[in-house]
Amino acid sequence: MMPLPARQLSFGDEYMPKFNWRSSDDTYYDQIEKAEMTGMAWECLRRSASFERDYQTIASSGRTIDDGFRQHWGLVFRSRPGAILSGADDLLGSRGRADDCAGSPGIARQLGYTRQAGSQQCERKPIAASSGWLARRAASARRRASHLVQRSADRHRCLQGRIAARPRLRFQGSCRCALVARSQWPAPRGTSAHDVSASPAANCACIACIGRLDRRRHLLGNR
Amino acid sequence: MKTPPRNPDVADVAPTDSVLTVYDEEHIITYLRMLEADKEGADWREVAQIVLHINPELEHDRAKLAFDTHLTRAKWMTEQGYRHLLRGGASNPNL
Repeated sequence: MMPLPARQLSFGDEYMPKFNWRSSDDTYYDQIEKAEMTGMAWECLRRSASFERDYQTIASSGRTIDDGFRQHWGLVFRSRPGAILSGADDLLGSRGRADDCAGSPGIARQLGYTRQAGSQQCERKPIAASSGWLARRAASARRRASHLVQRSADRHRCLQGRIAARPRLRFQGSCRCALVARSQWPAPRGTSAHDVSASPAANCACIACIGRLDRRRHLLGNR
Repeated sequence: MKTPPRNPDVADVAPTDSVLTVYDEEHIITYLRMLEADKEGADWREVAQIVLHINPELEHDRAKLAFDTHLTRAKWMTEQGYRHLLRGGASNPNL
């Protein structure tokens, strides 16, 4: 047998988990067997020469991953907790969580819910007293706003209250596919936390499934 | 989508459809092994023997054909096929 040429290391090799393709007992296959289709899709994409080349171009230039890159490859990212999400407003008209949307002007406008200056003040003011017209009005406004927001959140399959403690989703408006990185931590050396989710080094265990129903809604919404 | 078999036998020729097929879903691990072997620069005969279960010494042409077409399809999965997985796989009638 001819000696094999020396393998040239390419970008991502340092972090790319290896598996023994010669064996059918490698633990890597356990991950694949347990993975959702999203994870399998990522395992394919991360081996794409063009994807790796695109990622390398951006990473080596010091630029951050931009919308064009995400949309081209069908990537969806979670942001870091606490990050300001301008994109979330486009989708939900809010800052994300359903339970903090009572004060969101975006969703209120979208659903035709007009707030008066007084009620806006009330909504944003913590309800300290359990009685009095101001507290009742504030509570009523909050319930109504929460209900509308919840309905909207359901409709847009996005960000219900129970995910409040998790990193928020960030959707790309025109992409038709969705890969969601479960987390950007810990960041490998030389990469920013934001970029890790797009790195070919991230294995399928880092990729969350946003759920078949959710994904289908997302896809339908972006057709 | 069912759990993909870990070490399935392969057809002589991989699919060339423009959409994801059930065969593709069943051979996703085969594709990943071939991509890994390709990246490593492994000899095609070794890959055919181990991954495709075809002895290149006995069936050279069949082994070469199966190797070439499956590697091509594996690369298609990395460029296009993964998008079909995200849309629900081969069972999605709207693909």
